Amino acid sequence: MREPRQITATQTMMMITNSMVGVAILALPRIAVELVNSGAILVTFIGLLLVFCSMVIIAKLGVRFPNESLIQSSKTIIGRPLAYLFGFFIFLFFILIVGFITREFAFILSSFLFPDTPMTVLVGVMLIVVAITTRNDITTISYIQFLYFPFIAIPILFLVLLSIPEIDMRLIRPFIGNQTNVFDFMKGSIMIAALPFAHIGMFVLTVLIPHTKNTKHAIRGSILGICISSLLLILIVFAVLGVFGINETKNPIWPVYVLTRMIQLPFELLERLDILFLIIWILSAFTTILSGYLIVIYNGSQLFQLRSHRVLSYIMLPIVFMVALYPKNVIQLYDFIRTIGLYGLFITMLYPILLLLVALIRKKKGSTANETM
Amino acid sequence: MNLWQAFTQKRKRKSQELPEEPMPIKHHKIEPNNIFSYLDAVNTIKEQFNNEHDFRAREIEVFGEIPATLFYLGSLVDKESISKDVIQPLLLAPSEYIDKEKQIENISELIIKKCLYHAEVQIEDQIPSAVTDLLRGNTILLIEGLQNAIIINTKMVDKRSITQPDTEQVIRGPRDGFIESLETNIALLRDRIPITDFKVKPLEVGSLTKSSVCLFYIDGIANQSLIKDVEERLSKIDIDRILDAGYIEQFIQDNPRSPFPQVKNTERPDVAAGNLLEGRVVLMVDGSPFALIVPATFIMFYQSSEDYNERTNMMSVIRFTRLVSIVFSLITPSAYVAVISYHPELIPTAFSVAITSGRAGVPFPAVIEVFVMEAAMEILREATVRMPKQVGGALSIVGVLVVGQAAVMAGFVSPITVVVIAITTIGSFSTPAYSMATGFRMLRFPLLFMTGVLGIYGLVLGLIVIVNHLVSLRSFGVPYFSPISPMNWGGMRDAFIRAPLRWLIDRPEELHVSNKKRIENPKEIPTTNPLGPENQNSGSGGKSS
Repeated sequence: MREPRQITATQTMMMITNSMVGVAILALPRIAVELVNSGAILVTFIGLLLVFCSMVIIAKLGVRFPNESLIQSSKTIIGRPLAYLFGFFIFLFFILIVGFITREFAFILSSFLFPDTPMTVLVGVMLIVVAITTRNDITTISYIQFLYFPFIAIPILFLVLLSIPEIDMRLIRPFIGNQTNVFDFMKGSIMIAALPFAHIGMFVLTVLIPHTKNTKHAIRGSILGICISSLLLILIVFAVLGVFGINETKNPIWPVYVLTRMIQLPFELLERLDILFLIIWILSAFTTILSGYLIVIYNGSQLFQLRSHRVLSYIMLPIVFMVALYPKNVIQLYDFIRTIGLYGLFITMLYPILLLLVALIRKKKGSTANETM
Repeated sequence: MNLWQAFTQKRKRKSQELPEEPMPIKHHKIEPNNIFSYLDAVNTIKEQFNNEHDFRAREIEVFGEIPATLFYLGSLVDKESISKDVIQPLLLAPSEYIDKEKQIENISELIIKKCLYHAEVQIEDQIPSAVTDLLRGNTILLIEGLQNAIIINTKMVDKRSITQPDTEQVIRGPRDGFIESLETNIALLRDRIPITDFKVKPLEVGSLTKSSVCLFYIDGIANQSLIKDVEERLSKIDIDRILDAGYIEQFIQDNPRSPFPQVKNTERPDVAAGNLLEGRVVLMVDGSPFALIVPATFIMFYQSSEDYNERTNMMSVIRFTRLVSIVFSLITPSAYVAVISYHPELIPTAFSVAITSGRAGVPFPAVIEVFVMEAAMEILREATVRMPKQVGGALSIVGVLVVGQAAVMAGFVSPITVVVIAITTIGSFSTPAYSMATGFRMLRFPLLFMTGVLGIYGLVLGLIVIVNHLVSLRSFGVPYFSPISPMNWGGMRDAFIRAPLRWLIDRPEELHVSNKKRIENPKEIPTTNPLGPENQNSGSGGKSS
């Protein structure tokens, strides 16, 4: 049974923003600084520009096939066997991504708050909550994401606002970094575009498009979503770099967390704010993992031709759980994320471009019926 | 015989001993009989009510010669009305009537039109339905030679007077409340909405209680498919009894396992009328003072009818206070436990030291302490509801002294825990809707457990689960959290705050009503100065000029 199409542009925007702004932003400034030192803001911008471009391509593809999911439309474009092959790659890739970001989040929790709690509990509880939530239909999930958006976006702006008195503009300049060349920027921006949150943010659109009110809503929502989330991410990089400078940003694994420890309210109400911001990180981790998990089970249900994505909600749980527990330590985890993420670019960036090109050449188009304008 | 056979044999014997089907309830089965003779009908009814204590059969002679019988149940009828409006005119009816009109079929019409004084009279030609009418407090009049019975509505059951409802008190607003009698309740609503579009649709639910349920809506405002859906759900109810509106609520709600109410109930006619005018459907059951309002959304449960009676800015603040108190009643104990036992670095050092010194002698971890106190509070609250009024004073003394003071002095709990519990309890009492407050009150125990195990992580995850559940709920297809998510700006004016009445132009968007406008043509109400200097002379009236 098809759900009625009722997701609006605002809901699309908030779902994409929630998916992009995950726990990964805790580590984002470090990754940005790594290759291009003080060019971090610029490299983040370029990386997000890449994400923006491929988001537009996915949206264009969605406009051509407004009633079909990616796997359905790829069947008509490149034929059944290839579509299933790539569909299976997408499915596997997102299982890995969701597992790893859940583990990344669990590492953050365990290193700051729960050093003695077993990793299985931290990962398991989060995945169970996510799996329960994906039992709802996609419209309801977009309502849920909508509700959490202000609780994620406003505190992040607040964090930037509180750190403004500490920012030293000299630490940010030069914008293009010291002793960097174009190749560094290319490498760095691809590294940022390969971060798991970018993959999830891009691909959640493929799940949403068949459920948005019409394609206009989908396009407007996706462009707004990527713009707002890019703004938040760049602001965070700016704040961290401005407060710490290059060298101090490089050292901690999660420089944003250190920032939340540093800042203080102008009056004595709470001793430390990092616990409060931890609530925000839990929320943003939840929304990102929820989107990722949704992509997994939605693609899975299309791949195995199931009635609804709900069927897989609990079945995928042990698999993702095992993936999440596979990395032995933080370094190995980040190695995995980097490798898998780079390979993932073939799936999330090149594959949609390929599909769009073939569709343009072969002049394939999906039916536009069943759309409420 | 092997073991398995022995086992099955035993099972069989057992099932023989105890017949699984319960004894069939004796239904009064009367064969439908259209054309009946007077004597047969009288005998059938008399047989039916053989030795009933309150069954009465009064024999009279109409027009001086034709024998007739009046049947009624003495406990259910207004005897004075029967004597004055039924028996008296029948006995006094002159026999000339019958001489003029020899056709015997017309006698029933003749009696209704020329003899009976009573207002509510109808004709029934089936004995079973006549018996049902009798059981509802009507009087049956059977006359020899007639093909049908005359039913006179003489029902009178004692009912209490209209009082202010105890569950929904207001400071400013009407003081009347619904009572158990459905007729009176309809009157209260009709009195408020005197238009023909206000429809009352009667239905019957409950195979044995045959309770009359009424569906109220306003034609031209309420969505037609909503009305149809409510009717369909009501017709699907199959149960022997409907003893309160709560029975109906549990059958028609979308998610029966949810801790949150998806149907709003109210005892106040003004609330029911207000919701009818927004395009919702109201249900009432005979014998219950509660009206059910569907579809219900989350925000309705912390709104009070008083919000609209007072000025906007004051009531916005008060409504927001209510929302905060709902949230407090859910998370205060868990947040306290999370901070005390997991993250004491969150609060300023001086305060932290004070709390720790207060907890110095307490033998348990904070989560056990809070849990025990919460349980004690629940017991106290339940006792307050159930106990006789005369011993109320004793309980409050026990509650205050033992649970509060003595527990702290004994070192059983820390003073700050008592403060936390107090905030929680008061918070849950300030919610206008009891059903919603109960839902949140019960959920704080699982939340407390989650916090006890995982600290603030458990608390946030627990809240996420609760919020996700709330957002995914639907009441008759309306998202439970609308107009917050999915967002609707027009609806937001009446969600967290209460905007001025002249801004509330549209009816709630999520109800998809037929007539969207609450205010048809907004006009500026002039704020002129009638007592200004230019008009001061006209105060003395016509005398001066």
